[in-house]
Amino acid sequence: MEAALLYLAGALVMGLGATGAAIGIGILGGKFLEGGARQPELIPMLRTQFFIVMGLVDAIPMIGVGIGMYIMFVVAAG
Amino acid sequence: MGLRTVKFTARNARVGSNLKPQFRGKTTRRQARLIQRILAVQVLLTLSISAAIAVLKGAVPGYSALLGGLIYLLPNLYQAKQVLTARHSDNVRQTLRDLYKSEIWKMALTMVLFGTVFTLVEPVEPFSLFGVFILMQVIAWAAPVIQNQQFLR
Repeated sequence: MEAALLYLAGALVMGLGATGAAIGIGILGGKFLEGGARQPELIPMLRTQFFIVMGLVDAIPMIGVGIGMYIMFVVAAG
Repeated sequence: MGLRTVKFTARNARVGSNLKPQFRGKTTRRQARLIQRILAVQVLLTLSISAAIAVLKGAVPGYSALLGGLIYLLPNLYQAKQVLTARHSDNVRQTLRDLYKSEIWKMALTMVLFGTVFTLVEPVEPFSLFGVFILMQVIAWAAPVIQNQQFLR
Protein backbone atom coordinates (compact mmCIF):
# COMPACT_ATOMS: atom_id res chain seq x y z
CA MET A 1 0.00 0.00 0.00
CA GLU A 2 2.80 2.37 1.00
CA ALA A 3 4.78 1.54 -2.13
CA ALA A 4 1.71 2.09 -4.29
CA LEU A 5 1.22 5.53 -2.75
CA LEU A 6 4.86 6.37 -3.37
CA TYR A 7 4.58 5.36 -7.03
CA LEU A 8 1.42 7.47 -7.28
CA ALA A 9 3.22 10.44 -5.73
CA GLY A 10 6.10 10.10 -8.18
CA ALA A 11 3.74 9.84 -11.13
CA LEU A 12 1.81 12.93 -9.97
CA VAL A 13 5.00 14.97 -9.54
CA MET A 14 6.14 14.09 -13.06
CA GLY A 15 2.73 14.33 -14.71
CA LEU A 16 1.70 17.69 -13.29
CA GLY A 17 5.13 19.15 -14.08
CA ALA A 18 4.90 17.83 -17.63
CA THR A 19 1.45 19.42 -18.04
CA GLY A 20 2.81 22.83 -17.07
CA ALA A 21 5.80 22.44 -19.39
CA ALA A 22 3.57 21.35 -22.27
CA ILE A 23 1.40 24.47 -21.91
CA GLY A 24 4.42 26.77 -21.57
CA ILE A 25 6.39 25.32 -24.48
CA GLY A 26 3.26 25.24 -26.64
CA ILE A 27 2.64 28.95 -26.08
CA LEU A 28 6.34 29.66 -26.64
CA GLY A 29 6.35 27.74 -29.92
CA GLY A 30 3.20 29.48 -31.13
CA LYS A 31 4.66 32.91 -30.41
CA PHE A 32 7.92 31.90 -32.11
CA LEU A 33 6.04 30.81 -35.22
CA GLU A 34 4.06 34.06 -35.22
CA GLY A 35 7.14 36.23 -34.71
CA GLY A 36 9.21 34.33 -37.27
CA ALA A 37 6.46 34.55 -39.88
CA ARG A 38 6.04 38.30 -39.33
CA GLN A 39 9.76 39.10 -39.36
CA PRO A 40 11.78 36.23 -40.87
CA GLU A 41 15.00 38.26 -40.59
CA LEU A 42 14.74 37.91 -36.80
CA ILE A 43 14.57 34.09 -36.79
CA PRO A 44 18.23 33.55 -35.74
CA MET A 45 17.78 35.95 -32.83
CA LEU A 46 14.43 34.42 -31.87
CA ARG A 47 15.99 30.95 -31.98
CA THR A 48 18.59 31.75 -29.32
CA GLN A 49 16.00 33.58 -27.20
CA PHE A 50 13.68 30.59 -27.58
CA PHE A 51 16.50 28.37 -26.31
CA ILE A 52 17.06 30.57 -23.23
CA VAL A 53 13.34 30.89 -22.39
CA MET A 54 12.77 27.17 -22.97
CA GLY A 55 15.41 26.58 -20.29
CA LEU A 56 13.34 28.70 -17.91
CA VAL A 57 10.09 26.94 -18.80
CA ASP A 58 11.32 23.37 -18.46
CA ALA A 59 13.38 23.87 -15.29
CA ILE A 60 10.64 23.04 -12.78
CA PRO A 61 9.36 19.98 -14.72
CA MET A 62 12.93 18.68 -14.95
CA ILE A 63 13.36 19.04 -11.20
CA GLY A 64 9.99 17.30 -10.82
CA VAL A 65 11.12 14.46 -13.07
CA GLY A 66 14.28 14.04 -11.00
CA ILE A 67 12.40 13.98 -7.69
CA GLY A 68 9.70 11.70 -9.11
CA MET A 69 12.30 9.24 -10.37
CA TYR A 70 14.11 9.38 -7.03
CA ILE A 71 10.82 8.52 -5.27
CA MET A 72 10.17 5.64 -7.67
CA PHE A 73 13.65 4.16 -8.03
CA VAL A 74 15.15 4.76 -4.60
CA VAL A 75 12.47 5.48 -1.98
CA ALA A 76 9.78 3.06 -3.19
CA ALA A 77 12.26 0.35 -4.21
CA GLY A 78 14.36 0.59 -1.04
CA MET B 1 12.16 54.79 -47.77
CA GLY B 2 9.70 53.24 -45.38
CA LEU B 3 10.25 50.13 -43.35
CA ARG B 4 9.74 46.94 -45.29
CA THR B 5 6.98 44.96 -43.65
CA VAL B 6 6.24 41.29 -44.06
CA LYS B 7 2.65 40.14 -44.17
CA PHE B 8 1.68 37.27 -41.92
CA THR B 9 0.81 34.65 -44.51
CA ALA B 10 0.83 30.88 -44.65
CA ARG B 11 3.57 31.05 -47.29
CA ASN B 12 5.84 33.00 -44.95
CA ALA B 13 5.17 30.54 -42.18
CA ARG B 14 5.88 27.61 -44.49
CA VAL B 15 8.86 28.58 -46.58
CA GLY B 16 10.30 31.61 -44.84
CA SER B 17 11.27 34.70 -46.77
CA ASN B 18 14.00 35.96 -49.07
CA LEU B 19 14.65 39.05 -46.97
CA LYS B 20 18.26 39.76 -46.11
CA PRO B 21 19.05 38.81 -42.52
CA GLN B 22 19.77 42.31 -41.22
CA PHE B 23 19.87 41.35 -37.59
CA ARG B 24 21.65 38.05 -37.94
CA GLY B 25 25.16 39.34 -37.26
CA LYS B 26 25.94 41.05 -34.01
CA THR B 27 22.85 40.28 -31.95
CA THR B 28 22.88 36.57 -32.64
CA ARG B 29 26.60 36.22 -32.06
CA ARG B 30 26.24 38.09 -28.77
CA GLN B 31 23.46 35.78 -27.66
CA ALA B 32 25.41 32.69 -28.70
CA ARG B 33 28.32 34.00 -26.65
CA LEU B 34 25.94 34.52 -23.70
CA ILE B 35 24.77 30.89 -23.91
CA GLN B 36 28.36 29.64 -24.15
CA ARG B 37 29.38 31.80 -21.19
CA ILE B 38 26.46 30.54 -19.04
CA LEU B 39 27.39 26.93 -19.84
CA ALA B 40 31.06 27.56 -19.08
CA VAL B 41 30.17 29.11 -15.72
CA GLN B 42 27.93 26.13 -14.95
CA VAL B 43 30.68 23.63 -15.79
CA LEU B 44 33.18 25.48 -13.59
CA LEU B 45 30.67 25.78 -10.72
CA THR B 46 29.78 22.08 -10.91
CA LEU B 47 33.41 21.07 -10.70
CA SER B 48 34.31 23.49 -7.91
CA ILE B 49 31.20 22.80 -5.80
CA SER B 50 31.66 19.03 -6.16
CA ALA B 51 35.30 19.32 -5.13
CA ALA B 52 34.37 21.51 -2.15
CA ILE B 53 31.61 19.11 -1.02
CA ALA B 54 33.95 16.12 -1.47
CA VAL B 55 36.56 17.78 0.73
CA LEU B 56 34.11 19.01 3.38
CA LYS B 57 31.50 16.21 3.53
CA GLY B 58 33.15 13.15 2.00
CA ALA B 59 33.23 11.18 -1.22
CA VAL B 60 29.54 10.18 -1.52
CA PRO B 61 28.10 13.74 -1.31
CA GLY B 62 30.94 14.89 -3.57
CA TYR B 63 30.28 12.49 -6.44
CA SER B 64 26.51 12.93 -5.96
CA ALA B 65 26.95 16.68 -6.49
CA LEU B 66 29.08 16.00 -9.58
CA LEU B 67 26.42 13.63 -10.94
CA GLY B 68 23.70 16.27 -10.32
CA GLY B 69 25.71 18.81 -12.28
CA LEU B 70 26.41 16.35 -15.11
CA ILE B 71 22.72 15.35 -15.35
CA TYR B 72 21.95 19.02 -15.97
CA LEU B 73 24.93 19.82 -18.17
CA LEU B 74 25.08 16.93 -20.67
CA PRO B 75 21.52 17.40 -22.09
CA ASN B 76 21.96 21.16 -22.10
CA LEU B 77 25.29 21.01 -23.92
CA TYR B 78 23.65 18.73 -26.49
CA GLN B 79 20.75 21.13 -26.94
CA ALA B 80 23.00 24.19 -27.11
CA LYS B 81 25.05 22.50 -29.85
CA GLN B 82 21.87 21.68 -31.78
CA VAL B 83 20.49 25.22 -31.45
CA LEU B 84 23.68 27.15 -32.12
CA THR B 85 24.72 25.08 -35.15
CA ALA B 86 21.28 24.84 -36.81
CA ARG B 87 21.24 25.18 -40.59
CA HIS B 88 17.65 26.06 -41.58
CA SER B 89 17.74 29.57 -40.19
CA ASP B 90 15.32 31.20 -42.69
CA ASN B 91 12.50 28.67 -42.46
CA VAL B 92 10.45 29.27 -39.34
CA ARG B 93 8.65 25.92 -39.36
CA GLN B 94 11.83 23.92 -39.86
CA THR B 95 13.54 25.95 -37.15
CA LEU B 96 10.69 25.33 -34.70
CA ARG B 97 10.69 21.63 -35.57
CA ASP B 98 14.44 21.46 -34.87
CA LEU B 99 13.98 23.32 -31.58
CA TYR B 100 11.21 20.98 -30.44
CA LYS B 101 13.25 17.96 -31.51
CA SER B 102 16.24 19.15 -29.50
CA GLU B 103 13.97 19.81 -26.49
CA ILE B 104 12.47 16.31 -26.67
CA TRP B 105 15.96 14.79 -26.86
CA LYS B 106 17.08 16.93 -23.95
CA MET B 107 14.16 15.76 -21.79
CA ALA B 108 14.69 12.13 -22.79
CA LEU B 109 18.42 12.37 -22.07
CA THR B 110 17.74 13.92 -18.65
CA MET B 111 15.31 11.12 -17.77
CA VAL B 112 17.73 8.42 -18.95
CA LEU B 113 20.55 9.97 -16.92
CA PHE B 114 18.39 10.23 -13.78
CA GLY B 115 17.26 6.63 -14.24
CA THR B 116 20.82 5.43 -14.82
CA VAL B 117 22.16 7.23 -11.75
CA PHE B 118 19.36 6.02 -9.47
CA THR B 119 19.61 2.40 -10.61
CA LEU B 120 23.36 1.98 -11.06
CA VAL B 121 24.99 4.32 -8.54
CA GLU B 122 24.67 3.35 -4.92
CA PRO B 123 24.73 5.06 -2.48
CA VAL B 124 23.54 8.46 -3.70
CA GLU B 125 23.22 11.52 -1.50
CA PRO B 126 19.98 13.16 -2.77
CA PHE B 127 20.53 16.56 -1.17
CA SER B 128 23.86 17.09 -2.94
CA LEU B 129 22.56 15.72 -6.24
CA PHE B 130 19.36 17.79 -6.34
CA GLY B 131 21.07 20.76 -4.69
CA VAL B 132 23.58 21.13 -7.54
CA PHE B 133 20.93 20.27 -10.17
CA ILE B 134 18.60 23.00 -8.85
CA LEU B 135 21.50 25.44 -8.49
CA MET B 136 22.30 24.98 -12.19
CA GLN B 137 18.67 25.73 -13.08
CA VAL B 138 18.73 28.86 -10.89
CA ILE B 139 21.92 30.04 -12.63
CA ALA B 140 20.19 29.57 -15.99
CA TRP B 141 17.29 31.74 -14.73
CA ALA B 142 19.51 34.40 -13.21
CA ALA B 143 22.05 34.74 -16.02
CA PRO B 144 19.78 36.50 -18.57
CA VAL B 145 18.63 38.92 -15.84
CA ILE B 146 22.21 39.63 -14.79
CA GLN B 147 23.24 40.04 -18.44
CA ASN B 148 20.29 42.44 -18.90
CA GLN B 149 18.78 40.59 -21.84
CA GLN B 150 16.61 42.65 -24.17
CA PHE B 151 13.52 40.45 -23.90
CA LEU B 152 13.49 40.57 -20.09
CA ARG B 153 13.66 44.37 -19.86
